[in-house]
Amino acid sequence: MDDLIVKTIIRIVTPFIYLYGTYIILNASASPGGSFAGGAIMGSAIVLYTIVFGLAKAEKKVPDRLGKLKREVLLCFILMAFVVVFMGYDVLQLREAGAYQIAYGEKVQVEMLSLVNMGIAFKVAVTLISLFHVFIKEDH
Amino acid sequence: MKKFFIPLVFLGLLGIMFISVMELPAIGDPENPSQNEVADYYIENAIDDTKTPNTVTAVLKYYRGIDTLLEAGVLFTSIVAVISVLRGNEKKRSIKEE
Amino acid sequence: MEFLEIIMDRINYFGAATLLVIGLYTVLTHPNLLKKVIGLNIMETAVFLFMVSVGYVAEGNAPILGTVKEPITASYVNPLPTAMILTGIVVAVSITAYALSLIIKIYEVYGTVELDEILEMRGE
Repeated sequence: MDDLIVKTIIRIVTPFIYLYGTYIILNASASPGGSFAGGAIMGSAIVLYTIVFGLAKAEKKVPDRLGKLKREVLLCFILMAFVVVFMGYDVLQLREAGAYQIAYGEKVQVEMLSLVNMGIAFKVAVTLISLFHVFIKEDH
Repeated sequence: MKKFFIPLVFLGLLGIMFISVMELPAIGDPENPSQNEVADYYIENAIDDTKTPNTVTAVLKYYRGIDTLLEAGVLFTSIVAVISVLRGNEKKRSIKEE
Repeated sequence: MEFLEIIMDRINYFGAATLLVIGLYTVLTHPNLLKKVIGLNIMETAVFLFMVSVGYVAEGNAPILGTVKEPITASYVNPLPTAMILTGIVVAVSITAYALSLIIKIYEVYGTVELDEILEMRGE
């Protein structure tokens, strides 16, 4: 797409879309939104970049090594599996040990950098970007 | 005859679904069967159990974490399936062309 | 008047049923494969609308509690169907991507995406 106005606007707007997605992922435990929505926003930023600037420039931003790194990606998913299992394991037993009991009127310490949230968001963003790149590569 | 037969079948299906929908309980009634003790437990204990005020994230992350894990497997399988369908035998094709 | 009230209390369910029948009609009668995928997506939307409507509570808040713990007095919407629907949307995206990739392969082999033409070619 060779249009100066569209290119300039997208070049200005893309960092703010990233920033918005990052904010939603960091605040996924406390505010409306959640990690699925944040991952979709960050993925759609790169999809927008690909539509305007073309595939060759976008692949410099996101290297398309997924076809060669299948085994490593599978290992990453299994690692995330264990993270989810250990963090969500046996909530009731934790409660009986008095781990998280909070009294009325007390301020809740919300976890900001949650590994599971970032994993879910990463998963959604990677899926959107790689599917779009694979489909658009068929045209060339 | 065939031209009118297919829409008639779908209209009949729509009528059957409307009649069955009339038997469901009304939307928004707090006494619905879907508002059972599971939802009450999630809302009352989400902060104590998981320190997460957003209840939907609490359900996704902690109470049903294995569900979310297998969903990651579904996404990974879909990526691998699309890549292998679209360019599974790219090498073979290039060898043949040579 | 009572009949109208019954309908207005279940208007989301009626919309879901109508969307489901529209999607089923598209899937079963159109010969174009891309339109079949669109019909499949309409049916998925109908199921999502139905399940989200099941969890709604009249005049209930969104299920996001404050950062200060307080006793629960207000009524909240059921959070479980919303979480289930998030899972369902992700699965719907994967199914759509896989179907589209199969359609691309079919177009490369046969040169068309019309199902009746493909069946004619295979019959000969």
